[in-house]
Amino acid sequence: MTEHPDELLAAYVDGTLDPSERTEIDAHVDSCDVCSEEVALARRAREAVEALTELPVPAGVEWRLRKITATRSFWTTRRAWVATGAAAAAAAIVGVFLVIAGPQEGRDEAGSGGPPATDVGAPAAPSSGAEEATILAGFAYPTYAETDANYNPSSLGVRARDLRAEARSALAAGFPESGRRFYRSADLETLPEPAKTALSCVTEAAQPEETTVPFHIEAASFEDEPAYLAAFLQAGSADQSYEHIVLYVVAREECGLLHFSSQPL
Amino acid sequence: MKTDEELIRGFLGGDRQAFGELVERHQRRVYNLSYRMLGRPEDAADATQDVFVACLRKLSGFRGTSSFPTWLHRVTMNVCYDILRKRSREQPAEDALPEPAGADHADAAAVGVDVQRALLQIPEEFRAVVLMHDALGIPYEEIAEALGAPIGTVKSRLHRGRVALARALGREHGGGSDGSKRADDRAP
Repeated sequence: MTEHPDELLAAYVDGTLDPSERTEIDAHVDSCDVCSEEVALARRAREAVEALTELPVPAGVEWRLRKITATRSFWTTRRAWVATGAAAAAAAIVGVFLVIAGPQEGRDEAGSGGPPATDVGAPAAPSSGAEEATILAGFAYPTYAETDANYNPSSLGVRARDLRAEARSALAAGFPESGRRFYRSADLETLPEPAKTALSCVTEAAQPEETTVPFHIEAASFEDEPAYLAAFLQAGSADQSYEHIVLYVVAREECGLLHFSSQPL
Repeated sequence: MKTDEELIRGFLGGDRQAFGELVERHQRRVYNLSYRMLGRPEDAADATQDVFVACLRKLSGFRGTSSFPTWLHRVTMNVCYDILRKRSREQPAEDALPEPAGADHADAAAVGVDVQRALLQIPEEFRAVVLMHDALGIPYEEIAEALGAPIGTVKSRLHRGRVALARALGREHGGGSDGSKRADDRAP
């Protein structure tokens, strides 16, 4: 018998020792103050933890989990492109997902942009996998959406949390993990309209550096004024991984900054 | 009802719905384990999402040598450790405990908060085993497999973890730990 047999004491408290071991430990515990105190403490702890209620998964978390599968189809295709090394030819084609929100099936809130499973207004969906890879190849961020949402600072906070969740998913799925990598692979000059105008307007107001990369732009309204909502990912330096997601709200007419928020990724 | 393995095969064969079912089946356990390990709802939300995103990416490599829940527990613990490491880098000295419970310790909700606070005071490797065994009812062997640790280590951490937790709980309740030997402390 070792001095204080932790392994056996765990099983002792759980009642899973075989009879001969249990007899041995009974005797030990009787004669050892330390162990007998510990057994009492361990029992108390076990009861306390067993009594913890199982919490329900918060609705916001369930929603985020449901969206994971929707994002997957986009990234599977993009990775297939990367694997086949079609970079040179594909670089000339930029994939942008244009989504017009409105009464749409499966949408529970306005303006959930980001890589959707189906897209409206983008280049026609091809039938073969290889063609799809070509069209989706090239640079797919920032994603762009137009919605009829009218944000205020509070609903903006909600939207920011959703975008943060999408950004985390995208990063886990292969989004370029630093500013330097992003700008090396992106030629934002080739973004098609209206995304290009939107990005240019936002850039004028926000003036991002190489540490800050555009993730999603939404053309909507802010307190009744037509505005772009632009989410950028930001790092401490061009080579570091992003630490924050920054939301800029920019007036569409004169490209002035209306609102700004930032939170850790 | 389909088994986890059937759902996984279905998903790998192109049935995206199958993954959704897998998530729904396991999300509560993953969320609860994460929340009890991390102590903050926002971190638990991030952890749960990270777990299932990792799951999605790695599912094609899942060989079925351990059961899916064991594999999922391993992923969950790795994600939680990552978040805890990140947290300790960002706030080295900060006490990450939730708000103190009210004065009325008879309230069941307050007691739960006390236990949660005490859990956050014990070392993470102890916390992991105590939660997996006592909160989630996972047997020693599966915990050992999930954590990649010998079963003896698991049992040892379980015992030391419980003792540390009881002492932390004693401190939470405002007194020293109660070391008195009770007459009924023998095994049944």
